Parts: sequence; C-alpha cells; structure tokens
Amino acid sequence: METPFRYEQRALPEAVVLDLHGDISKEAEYRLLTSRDWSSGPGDGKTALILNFSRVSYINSIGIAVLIRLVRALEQAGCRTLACGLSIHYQKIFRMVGLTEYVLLFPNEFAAIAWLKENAG
Amino acid sequence: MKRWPASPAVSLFAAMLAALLTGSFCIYLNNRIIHGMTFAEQWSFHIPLVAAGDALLLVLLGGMALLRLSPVRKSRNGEHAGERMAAFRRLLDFPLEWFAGLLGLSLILIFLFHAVELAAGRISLGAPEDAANLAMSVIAELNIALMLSVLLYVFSRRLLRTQALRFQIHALPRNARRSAAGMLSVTAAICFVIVVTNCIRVLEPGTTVLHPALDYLLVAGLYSVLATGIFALSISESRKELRLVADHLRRLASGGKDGLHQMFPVIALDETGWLTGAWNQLQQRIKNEYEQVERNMKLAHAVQNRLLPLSPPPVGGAEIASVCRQSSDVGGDFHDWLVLPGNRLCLAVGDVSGKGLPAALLMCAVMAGFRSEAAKGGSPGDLLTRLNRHVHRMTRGESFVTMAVAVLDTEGPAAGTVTVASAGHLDPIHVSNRHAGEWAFSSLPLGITPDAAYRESARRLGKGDVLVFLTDGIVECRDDSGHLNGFDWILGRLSQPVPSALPLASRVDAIMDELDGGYAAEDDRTLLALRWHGDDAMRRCFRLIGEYGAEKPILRETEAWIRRTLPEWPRVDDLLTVLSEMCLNAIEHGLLAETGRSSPVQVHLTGEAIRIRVWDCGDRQPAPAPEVPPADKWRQDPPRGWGLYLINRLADGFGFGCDNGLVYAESVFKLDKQAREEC
Repeated sequence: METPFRYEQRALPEAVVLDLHGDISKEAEYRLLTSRDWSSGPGDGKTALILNFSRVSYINSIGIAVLIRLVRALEQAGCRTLACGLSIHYQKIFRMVGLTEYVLLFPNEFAAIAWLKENAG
Repeated sequence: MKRWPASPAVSLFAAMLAALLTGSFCIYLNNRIIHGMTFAEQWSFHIPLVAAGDALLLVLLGGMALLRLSPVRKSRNGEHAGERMAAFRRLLDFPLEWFAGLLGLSLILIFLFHAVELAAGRISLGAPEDAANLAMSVIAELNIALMLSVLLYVFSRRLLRTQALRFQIHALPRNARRSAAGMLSVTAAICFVIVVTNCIRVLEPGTTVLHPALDYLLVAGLYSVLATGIFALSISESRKELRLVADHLRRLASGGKDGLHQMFPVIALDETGWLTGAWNQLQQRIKNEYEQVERNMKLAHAVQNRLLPLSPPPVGGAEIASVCRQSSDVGGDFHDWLVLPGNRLCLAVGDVSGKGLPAALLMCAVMAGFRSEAAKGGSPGDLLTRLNRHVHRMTRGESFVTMAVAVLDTEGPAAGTVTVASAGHLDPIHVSNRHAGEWAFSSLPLGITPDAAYRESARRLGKGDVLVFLTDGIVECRDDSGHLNGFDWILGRLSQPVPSALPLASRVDAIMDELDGGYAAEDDRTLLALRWHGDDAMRRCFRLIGEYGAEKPILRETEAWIRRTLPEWPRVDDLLTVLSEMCLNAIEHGLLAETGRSSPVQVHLTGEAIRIRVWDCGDRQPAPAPEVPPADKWRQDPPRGWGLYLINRLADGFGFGCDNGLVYAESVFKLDKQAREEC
C-alpha cells in the first residue's frame, strides 16, 4: 500500500524548504494542498520554496497534478519554486509534463540555496 | 648510483704492471745473455733508467685508463641513451687505445734511453759493430714492446668484456665498425716480425753460442713458439666472443615461447658485434611482426566474441546459459540463439574442424548462414539440410562443421516440446529428475557431402529438465596424468543434485571452471544449457483491488522480478511508471476506488517484449479520447489526465483489447528498443 506522505517545513534566510517524505500520490493531495493556501506564498515572508524530494521514491500522475497545483499557486503569488533530490527518472517525468518550465531542478539543497544566493534580488 | 666494482680496475692495473715488469725483465735478460752485462753493470745505469721508464709508463697508461674509463663508470647506469652508447663505445675502443699507447710510449722511451746512453758516452756509433749492436738492441726492445702491447690488448679486452656485457647494448654503435680480421692480421704481422728479427740477430757475427745453424734453428723455433702462443691467445679471445654469441643462440633455441624475441648484448665492435647487432635487428623485426600478428589475433578474437550472443533472450519459461572458451585467441566453436515467430526459441551449437584463424573464418560464415536460414523458417532438420549446402560450397569437402540445432516451443499446447537435429555433433544430454542421459543422433557433419539430409527428433521437456549441448573440447580433454575426461565425467556432473534456485549460468560456470582447473585446454570448449521452467514461468499475475496505493505491491514484485530476469535492461523505471498509471487508471475508472472490486493484472515477458495487461470490469472497450496538450492540462482544474499522457510517451505501444469477453488495456515495451525520445 501507499507509503504515508508527510512533510516538514524549514525556513532558511533564502527560502522555505519542504522536506517531503513518502509517496506523492492521493494522500499528498489532502496533506499538501489543504493544509494551507499556497497562493499567498511559502510563508515566513519568503519568495522561494525548495521542494526536497530526496526521501520520495514514488510519484504518480495524481502526485504530479498536486505538484502542478502547488507550483501554479506559488506562481500566482509571484514566488519561485525549486526542486532538489529528484531521481533521474522523475527528472525526466518532470520534463515530460512541463514542470521544469516552472520549477528549477538541482541535485541537492546546497546547490539550490547557492543558486538563490547568486540570483538574490 | 651503483659503484663500479674495484676488481676490473685492479685487474687492469695488475695487467699493466705485469706487462711492464715482464718487459723490464726481458730487457735485463737480453743485456745479460746477449750483451754479457753483469747485474752490477746494469744496476749502475740500465736498471734505474728502465725502472724510471716503467714508472713513467705506469703513470701515463694508468692516467690514460683513468681518463678514458671514468666516464664509462658514470654512464653505465645512466638514463641518457646517447651517453650510455658513447661510454660503451669508449669501453670497447679502450684495448686498442692501450695497445697503441703502450707501443708508442715504448718507442719513445727506447729512443730516449739510447739517446741518454749516447750522451752519457756509454755507447758510441764510431765503429760499424757499435751501430750494429745498437740496432740489435733496438730490435730486441722493439720486439718486447710489440709482444707486450699485443698481450696487454688481449688481456684488457678480456677484462673489459664483462663490463661491456653489463651495458646491455643491443645495437652496434654508429660508425664504430672494427675488423677482427684486421686486428688478427696485425697480430700475425707482429708475430712474424718477432720471429724474423730475432733470427736476424743470430746472424750477427760473434753471437754464435753452439753452432750457427743450430743457434738459428733454436732461436727460430723458440720465437716461433712464442709468436704462435701470442697469436693463439689473440684468436682465443675472438673465439670466446663467438662462443658467447653461440651460447646465447643455443639458449634461445632451447627456451620456451618467452625467449623467442630475446636479444643479447653486443660485446665487440668487430664481426662478432656485427653478427650480434644484425641478429638483434632481426629479432626486433620478428618481434614487431609477431606483435602485429598478436594485435590482429586479439582483434579477431574480439570480433569473434562479438558475433557470439551475449545475454540470452527471456523467452517464456526457458532459461539459457552458455560458456564458450577458445583454446587460442580465435577458434572454431560457436553457439547462437534466436527467437523465432510464435516465441519459439532456436538454439545452435557448432564446432568447425581445425583451429585458429581458418576455423574462426569458417565459424563466422556458418553463424551468418545459420541466422539467415533460421529466419527463413522450417524445422531444425530442414535448417541443417539447407545450411549443409552452403557449407559444402565454401569448403568443397576439405573441412567440415559439426552442429546441433534445437527449437523449443514456449507457448501453446506444444509448450516445452524441443525438436533437435544434429549434423555429426556430440549427442545432447537430457537431464531429467537428476538423471543425465545422452539423446542419440547419427548423421554426417556439415560440408562432407552436398546432398546430406538431416532428420530430427522431438521430446517434451518436464519442468526443471535441462538440455545440454557441448563440444568435443569438454569430453576430450585430459588431466595431468593423461586421463581422458570422457562423457562419464560430464554425465556425472550433470546428475549431481543442485538447488533448483541456483541459476543455470552459475551451474555452467562451475562446470567450466572445474574443467579449466584440472584439465589442459587443448581444444575449444563450449557448453550451452537450456532449462525449462514451464510456460507460466515468465508471467506474473496479480489482482488489483480498488484502493489507492493497491498498485504499490504489484510494482514492488514486478520491479524485483524484472531486475532479476533482465539485469541489464535500462527501461525498468519507465515500465514501472506505465504499470503504475495503468493500475491507477483501473482503480479510479474501472474499480471506482471501491475496495470490494478487483481486476486482474498481468506482466508477460516474451522473447521480444514485455506486455502489461490490466483488465477492466466491463465488456466495452473505451473510446480513444483525443489527447489534451500539456499546456491545456496545466490550465485545467484539477490539472489531471497525465497518466495516459505518460503511458503514450514511455511505452512502445498502448491499446485496448478484449479477451474472452473481458476488456483490457495493454502496453508494450520492446526489449531491443532504447528508451523513447522525451517530448
């Protein structure tokens, strides 16, 4: 059965980081999208959200729809979304569905933060 | 840096000292016997002057040795080839230089000695007898100088030869050719001069001791023996050098393959050196040729290996393992497998007569012919009959090929039936319930006669049965005591109980490793084994319940199975995503996410593809809906519909079908295709 989804939120000087755990599927729809209104931004006054997928091993099309809704909401708030820790296969899936048009992919969190520092302002 | 051992330097010094003392003693004897001078008379003049001359020669010749040979000592282990070569040449030139040095200095000293004698009034040139006496003395001293120079040349050459060997120079230095014949001629001339001049001295009036004729004969005999000894000594040195070369050649001739291209060091600048240099050049050329041949053989080996199939095709229920080990770089053994229409598995094993490149060339042609004929269809017997005509056209009966072909049905009512035809090949071994027995065939090899026809025989394999094909290299090899391996050995090994979970490849490898460990590889060895697991072995069937996440156990089991069965297939992640989306589609639309509902799911591995089939609950095939572009999906709320989008992009085919009134969705992954282009 599904590996339960949960996430932990961390605020860094450059961005808010969401450490995602478990399967990005049906359960993630409720836990991620109903927990808060992302169209007002990632919170803590930040304008960037880093999605850390390093503890995620399964994403299906329901999960992709959840991520699209999240990214779309952040776009409306004028915020930027970054992703790190994705496997090569899911990087390919992200490209196929067009998520990479809105989400910048990085191998790890340090690389994502470094990019934010370089492009601050 | 290594120091030059003291012994050669000491030996050189000793040789020089011995030469000078011998010369001085000869002069003393000459004065005492010929001129009748007492020791006291000589002590007052001759001995001090001769001793001074010796000391001067010792210093000059020693200094010369030090000057000429000290760079040799430094350069022997040096890395700079030019310096080493220059030092080597200097070493080989030195004996001749010493010869010339001693002779030249002796002449100068003889001149100076007699000049002092004249100046001191000890001799005069007033009377003809005085001049004759002086001339005789000069001739005697000159003889001694010549003899000693030759001896010093011979001994120094002998002493320095060991040093020359240590340089390990394999080519004659450029423009450094000397002639042994020339030096021998000089030595012969010197010996002649020694004999003749001493005989002339006997003719001097007043020197008769016994009788003029007897004196003449005695002196001539004595100096002839002396001159012959010097000449023989000189020749013996050249002979020793030639013997060294001959010994090297003999050692090479009696040595193994490793010594084939060995070179040996140049030890002289004369004809012996020319011979050594020329031999080394020849060896180098042969070595280059051999290396080229070896490179070509390695390339041929690589090409031949590429012709042999790598990983066996995953045809329903059949497990294949093979090992082909050639006894030389290229060989005549081969095996192959193909998947024929209807998921029929075709296997072949063959052995071309002979070994090496000719056998390998014929093997390549036969393999190409086999693939071509197998594609045309027909039974194994038909295939061999057609292939035989090709082989006979190529070999004209001068060479032949033994070959066995088997075709296994993996699906349908005949699943597990194997049909075998053999062309003079070793009988296959059928292992069933731990009993290994030969499956006897009788036929001519391919290529013997153009109109041979080959008959076939069929058997139904039980689950777990193994069919083994081998070449004669396995049964005809011998152990260290000369005992022939034979059929009993392989039958015994195949009858041994093994865990059913043990992969067939591990079992085949173990048999071949045992052969390699205990039996010399005189011939190529090939073993091809087929194990039948039943026609349901290459399917995984699941039941999907209508609950989100119910697809996860199916994904886990499928992933483990595919990775185990096709360890190198690169599209497992794509397949799992497609399987996941098909299951998700069934859960949402077919099973309505109700846990009380369920649908069958099947993953079927065939020889060419993996087919994923997910059954629907209904009996109506869904109408194909036009695909929504991704940009439009992004604007939808919720932005769904990605499942079919991903399936269409990741799988090689997707569609719907109906089986016994039940509708199913099916996606196909072709095994020989790379991952599809990303959109």
